[in-house]
Amino acid sequence: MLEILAYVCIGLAGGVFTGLIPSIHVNNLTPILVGIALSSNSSPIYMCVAIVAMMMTHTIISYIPSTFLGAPEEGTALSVLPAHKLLLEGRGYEAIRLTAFGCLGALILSAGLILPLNLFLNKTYEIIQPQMHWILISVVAIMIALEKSLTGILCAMAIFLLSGLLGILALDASLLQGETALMPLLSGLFGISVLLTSIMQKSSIPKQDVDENSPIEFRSKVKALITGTGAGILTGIIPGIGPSQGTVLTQIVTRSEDSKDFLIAVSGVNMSKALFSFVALMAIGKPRSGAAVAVGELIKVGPEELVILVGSALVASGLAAIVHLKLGKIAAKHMGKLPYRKMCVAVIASIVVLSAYLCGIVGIVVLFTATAIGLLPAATRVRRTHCMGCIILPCILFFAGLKGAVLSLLGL
Amino acid sequence: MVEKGLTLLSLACSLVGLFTLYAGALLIRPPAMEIASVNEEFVGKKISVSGEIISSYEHSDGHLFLKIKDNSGGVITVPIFSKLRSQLEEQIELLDILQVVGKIQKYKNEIEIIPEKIEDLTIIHTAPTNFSRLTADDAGILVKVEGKIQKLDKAGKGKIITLQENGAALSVFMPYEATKGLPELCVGDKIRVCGWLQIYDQKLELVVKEPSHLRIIGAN
Repeated sequence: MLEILAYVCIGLAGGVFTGLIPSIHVNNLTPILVGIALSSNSSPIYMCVAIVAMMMTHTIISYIPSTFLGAPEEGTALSVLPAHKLLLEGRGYEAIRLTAFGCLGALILSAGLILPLNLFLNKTYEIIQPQMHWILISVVAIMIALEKSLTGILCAMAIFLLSGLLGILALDASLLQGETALMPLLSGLFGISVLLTSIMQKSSIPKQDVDENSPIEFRSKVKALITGTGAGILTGIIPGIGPSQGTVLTQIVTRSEDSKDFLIAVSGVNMSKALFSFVALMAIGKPRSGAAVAVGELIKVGPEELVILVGSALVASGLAAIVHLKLGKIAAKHMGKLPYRKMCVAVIASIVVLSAYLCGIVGIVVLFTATAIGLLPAATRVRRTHCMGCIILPCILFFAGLKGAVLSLLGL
Repeated sequence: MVEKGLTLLSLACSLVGLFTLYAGALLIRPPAMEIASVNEEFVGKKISVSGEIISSYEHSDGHLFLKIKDNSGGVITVPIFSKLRSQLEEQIELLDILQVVGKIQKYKNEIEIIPEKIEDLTIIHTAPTNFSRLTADDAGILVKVEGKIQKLDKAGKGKIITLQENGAALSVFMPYEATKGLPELCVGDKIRVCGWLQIYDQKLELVVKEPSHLRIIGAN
């Protein structure tokens, strides 16, 4: 028991480190942990506990840079705008509290659903998977149709297609290596474009309200939490569907334009996806995240192992939420004292340097193009979610079995 | 006016960026090669080949070793290591067409192409052959057939399965080695099986060499 708690703490420390530094992901550390586990004499389940704890902690803590710095990753991409909006209203700490609430609420809900869902997950997966491209096409069609005017619909379609084309070139054309492509892609579409808009509008960060006693209205947020959890479970089981697509689904189901609901839903999606990516190891025998691949390499996940992993996830997430609130409060207290525009420029510069370091000159071209496309929603007054075409369009082609044909058609 | 200018500028930058990336992707695209022309000079280079899967072998560690053959007559080994294999969403069957992008390596005097990520593999599934059309002239060829199990018999330590499809029947012989780890089969199960045709006792039969060459696609 003590060993498990010790490994939870190792995972917690790793998750805080990867979560706080934009562009560093759990997947950067898991190969090291797998290597250590394979060369040591201790049971591999302990290292799996550390990996699970790190993944859950990372998921929660990554909302700090996405809220205060506008630096997103796949899971937090869509949360940048509403969190940033709250930050500019002096409610950055509220965004942190809402994401902590969304993460923990969704974790408890999805942990409770593991047993009943496990009974028919495999069958459901087999039924849903062949129809996935139709589900995604419907989601996109609804997303675009929700624009209020014909011009808006046309602009949304153009943005979706431009983002989709960029996604295909960045993710499938062998220009960049696997997941590293996501960093310049999402930072451009959802990060730099938002920061540039803030700079152009001469925004500044007001003094942040760090009142931790104002209650979160639980009842009104239950719908966002439940739909977020449901969408997260779906995205945790089905390959290729990320938290952002899950969030789009929840937005359609809840029909909510409220930033608070949005943040709870997106953090709920992210957290239940993280948990179910491990559950999928037992339920359908397939890993659904880089961390789950690492766990699958170390142990065969059966009911006993799953109980230990889920228990560790709950403990780690509880501790991570406390760290999240503490660090979020420190960040909120000091943000107002910093020169916002200079900080935006510094963040943009660091994203450019990181993209160049991780992906070279191609990463810079992807970042530049993604930023240009990311500026279009604000300029044409349509929703930024259409930029998720960068991941949704390649997914649709994959599930429809057309990816190879499209790449051949493009001569790639 | 500012918004219109910003829209046009962003759009222009987007298109320039997309065009640059497209041109870059075309330039760095690994060259598509005929398998027969791939030799030791290509070791360490990244290329693309495409061909029909003519052999598959599952290692006990979960690795899958395929051999593909194209129209040039060349054959190349494609190792799919367990980590990459676990990410495969679809079954790979003999006679499917496989397009692979990977680095050329030489292992035990054999040229191999190593795919690194799941996107490096494109599988085009081929339909099974209607076995009522098979004749004695087809003996020696590799075929993929599909049908319902009509009868299950023992042949020494091995198995003989009688398959039925549209009124036609075909015997499938599975030597002992090919039955190890095979899922339990029942009369009425629909299966897809790949193997080599041979004439035995003046009758056409299919010989299966690996348990992974048989797949239950509809349990009774």
